[in-house]
Amino acid sequence: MHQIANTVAQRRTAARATLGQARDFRRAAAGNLAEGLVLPAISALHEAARMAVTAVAALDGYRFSNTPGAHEAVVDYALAILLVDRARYAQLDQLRELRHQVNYPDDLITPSAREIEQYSDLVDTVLTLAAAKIPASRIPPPPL
Amino acid sequence: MHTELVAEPVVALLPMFRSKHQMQILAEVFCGRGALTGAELARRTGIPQQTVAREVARLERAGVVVTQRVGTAKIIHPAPDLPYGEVLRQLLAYAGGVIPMLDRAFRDNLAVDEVFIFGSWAARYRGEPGPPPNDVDVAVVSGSLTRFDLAEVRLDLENESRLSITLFVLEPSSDRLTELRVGSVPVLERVAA
Repeated sequence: MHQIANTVAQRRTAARATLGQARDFRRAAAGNLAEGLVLPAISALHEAARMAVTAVAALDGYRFSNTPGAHEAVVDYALAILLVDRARYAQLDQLRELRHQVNYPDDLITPSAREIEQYSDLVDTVLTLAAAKIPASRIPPPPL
Repeated sequence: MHTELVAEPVVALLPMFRSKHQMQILAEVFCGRGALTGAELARRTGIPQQTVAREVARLERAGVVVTQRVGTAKIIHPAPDLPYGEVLRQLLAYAGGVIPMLDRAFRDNLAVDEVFIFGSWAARYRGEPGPPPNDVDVAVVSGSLTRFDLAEVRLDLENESRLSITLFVLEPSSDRLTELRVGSVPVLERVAA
């Protein structure tokens, strides 16, 4: 995790852009589910949650380094800044774990419809919590 | 004169314990529900009660466990303030203590029908040679729970055992169960009332 020396305005812009990407992944997950593509949906849900937390980190002036363990660091950060409580932290970590179980047979890891709904609701909650921390952009005042 | 010794099974996962029996007893005492009698230890581990009594006496002499007499029963506890207690507990978790830990985590959850360990950890535990396992694959059989529901249980287990636990939740009707149970290590099976 790196600290970025940006202005507050730049951090806000970066955070809004990253949150936008998180929402795009959430929409992609819904699209995947509509087509019956369960495992790609899980991957997209994981990305949505990861980007939502990354957006808050960007607002705080941090960037996650692209190294092994970075995805775990994102989940840990969500708990560290109390974006989520311990139960949601455990659920986010389970989503991360599931996303990384690609070496297991599909029928062992493919979640049930109820489980997908649980992850979808979790990601929606994380998106809402992240959005609440990031100030919305304001319409600039009219020129004098 | 040649004397043939019949060795007790060794702990394939971590061959630093005197015997598998000693490891199983220590694992129950340090990683299980605690406060056990010799008879309970024998029942839980499947080790003959005389062997349990002999191993417990040996561990008590070494200061690793303590016993407390309650009526006619002798209750066995981990020795308090054991300087290497935490390290021993961690080693035991890897060697076999994860079994009583899982039992403790799921025993009271009536939505769980069965728990067993499969994959490389189970194979090594059963003595099959191979590289040391990186994680413990745990199958939880339940008709109503999901991995999501058990996320906090998994986190607690990982924190306690310091092992990477991979949970798989399977429906009781799953076709995969028969295949996965082969070579697995049973943890608990709830008998229908």
